[in-house]
Amino acid sequence: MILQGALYCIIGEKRELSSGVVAYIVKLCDDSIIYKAHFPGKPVTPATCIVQMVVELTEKFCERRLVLCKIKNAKFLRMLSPGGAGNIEFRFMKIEMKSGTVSLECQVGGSNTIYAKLSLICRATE
Amino acid sequence: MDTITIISATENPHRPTAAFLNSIDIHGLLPQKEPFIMIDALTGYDDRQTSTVFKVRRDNIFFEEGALTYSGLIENIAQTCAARIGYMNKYILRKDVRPGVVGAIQNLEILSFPRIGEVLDTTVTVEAEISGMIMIGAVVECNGKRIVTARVKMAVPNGEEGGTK
Repeated sequence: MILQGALYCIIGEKRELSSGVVAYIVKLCDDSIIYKAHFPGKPVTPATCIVQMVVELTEKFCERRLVLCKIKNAKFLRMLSPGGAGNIEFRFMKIEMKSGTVSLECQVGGSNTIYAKLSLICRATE
Repeated sequence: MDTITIISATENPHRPTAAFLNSIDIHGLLPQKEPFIMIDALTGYDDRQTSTVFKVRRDNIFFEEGALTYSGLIENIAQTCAARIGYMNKYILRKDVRPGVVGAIQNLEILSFPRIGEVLDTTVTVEAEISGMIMIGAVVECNGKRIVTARVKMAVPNGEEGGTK
């Protein structure tokens, strides 16, 4: 299941040319079937889906299909619920491509809140 | 609908028999609902370990191109941890099932992706337990081969906020 369109929509993109940092602004879809199941009456974004959102946004940046092969470290600091969270920023501190392998670091935040920090390694599928 | 499982007088919930584990409907241990269920049944429970099985099916929301995706594998580990918390609450502490929350995942490595019809055997081992936080080592096997290993921190929140710093 591709989560873009089903769990979130990209509504903006920021690039800081000097540092090379890229950030995607997303909005969570509160009517997603995932929120109805996780958890009924108390929607929370599953940690699994936060990981997949980071991978999908990295795919968009790299313009390649990727598959996750390692989570070096992922911290989920606060529950990310669709209602009231407002727009969420996925800020990439690092995206490094080397012979089909992509190492990345991403921070997921909102207004004055950090929801998650992830450091992942993906592999290009073709 | 929750199902009621009757524990016989001889059943010790700390060391359940295979028959007893087999009689438990997994939906009664997890706060998640379909289609976001990534384990089929409990196969082992003791003071340190919990094991589950899960068959890869075409109608799974994390099934793509003939195999379970990385998201399905991560969620399978998270729900094996959640099933442990659910079992403990329901059969040992006799409380309501409360959602466990993933606080952190470290060194998760995926070696291969299970294909349709293959069965995952997932075991989580409690390495430490400190004030509502459980540190877990997880191994997913398929056809006797290790396909995923990880370390996971789970929190059982009391109030509105969960997670770990």
